[in-house]
Amino acid sequence: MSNYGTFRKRAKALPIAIAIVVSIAMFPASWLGWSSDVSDLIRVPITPLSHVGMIIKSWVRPAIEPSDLPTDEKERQELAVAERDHYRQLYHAQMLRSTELADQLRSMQSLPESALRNPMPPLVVSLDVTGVKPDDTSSIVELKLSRHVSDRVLTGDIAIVGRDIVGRISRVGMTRIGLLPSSHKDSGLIRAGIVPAHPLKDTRPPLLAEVLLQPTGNGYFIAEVQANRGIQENDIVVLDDSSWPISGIGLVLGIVTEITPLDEAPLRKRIEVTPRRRSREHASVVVLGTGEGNSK
Amino acid sequence: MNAIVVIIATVIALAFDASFAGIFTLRSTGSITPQAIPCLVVFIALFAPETAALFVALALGILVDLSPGHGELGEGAHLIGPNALGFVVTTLLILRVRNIVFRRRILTIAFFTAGAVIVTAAVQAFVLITRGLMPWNPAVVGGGFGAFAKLFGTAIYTGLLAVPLGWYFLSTIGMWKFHSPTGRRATWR
Repeated sequence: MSNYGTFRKRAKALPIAIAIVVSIAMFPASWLGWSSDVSDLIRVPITPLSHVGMIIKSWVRPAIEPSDLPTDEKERQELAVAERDHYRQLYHAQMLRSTELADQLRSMQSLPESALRNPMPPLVVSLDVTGVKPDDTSSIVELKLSRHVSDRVLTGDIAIVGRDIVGRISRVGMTRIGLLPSSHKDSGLIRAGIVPAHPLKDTRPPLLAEVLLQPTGNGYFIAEVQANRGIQENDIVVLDDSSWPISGIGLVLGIVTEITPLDEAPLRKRIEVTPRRRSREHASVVVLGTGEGNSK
Repeated sequence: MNAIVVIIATVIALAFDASFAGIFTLRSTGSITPQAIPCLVVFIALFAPETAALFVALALGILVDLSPGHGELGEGAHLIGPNALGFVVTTLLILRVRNIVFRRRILTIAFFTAGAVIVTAAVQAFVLITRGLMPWNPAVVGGGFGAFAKLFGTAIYTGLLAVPLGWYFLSTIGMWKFHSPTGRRATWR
């Protein structure tokens, strides 16, 4: 029994509250849609502080940059690298598109739009990361929602860091935006292409294989490829999925980090693909918005 | 108990867990990260009146369940319950033993905090398994030795974090106003 009479009146309320929480915990997911709005409201006082925390965190402990990327020492070099990456993405996009077109020639389909000729280029929107679950590499990341971007960012838009895809927008709420990392289980199967990491120095074909990536929910993907494709570790895996926004075709999903033979299928191999960059390690991400809001 | 202090501490702890804690993440060991909220739950469970401690634990758990990355159900929905019930059970256990421990020792807070992480995770697992047994919910997947090792590491790391946090909490204990109606501070050990 409590020694504190002040709280005795509320003693009956506690079991009721716990019973309500237990009941809610058993609800099907479709009944819990309201919890996102409650979360939006509750996060209002926490988000500013969390935002500052993310800025401090990224300053004190910046993200580990992939070792094969050049350093950002000089602006000219940065510009050159950015342009090179941009054109490499376009090259990959065009290469993948041409491969797809070759398959479609039989039915004489018209030439589809490429990322270069896309009549509705994406709006590049930089959004700050305001909340993460640091111990879960694939959990949903919270982004800051500014008034001027609310109509430019839509669910399904791609978020990138550099030329690496870090996820897709899962929800645009009242006060925040949810970012689903690409390695999250809910991302579903992703069609991708594997290309050499250094195409100019490599004698292998420019497109090594097309794979279907399966997110594991543990921060990486798995896929199966034919054993004779010559896939090597550190080969780059680029997006080639028509269900994703076209602006993301050719962007990097990750690199091949492990190749293991399949005992049950000797002609195939299992590969692990790990993203090079993760949104939770950065203070901000760039969203390729497909909304039609004013850009002023 | 001073509600304003509790609210401020809650906001700071939630913000810490959702952002600043990333500084301490052990990236090479499965992203083990310390948590501030269990320290706060343990501190309140050790010193607050019973009913208030349980209510605060329930509220803190609900807030954690509504935090980014927790209880994801798709389309932004959160599962409310795993942390809320976990913190309540943790608080209940601490309430049963708090009179026979040296509450004002930092090591006590650190030890209880490490235990709180494990107890909360156990309750979470129970809730998720029970939820998965419902015919309208998908069965729960995951776990395994890797997850258990990570949980154990998180508990130890959070216990270590509780040393400076516990020292800070104890040094500001006057602000929290955990006074009993009879004012018998002699019961605090």
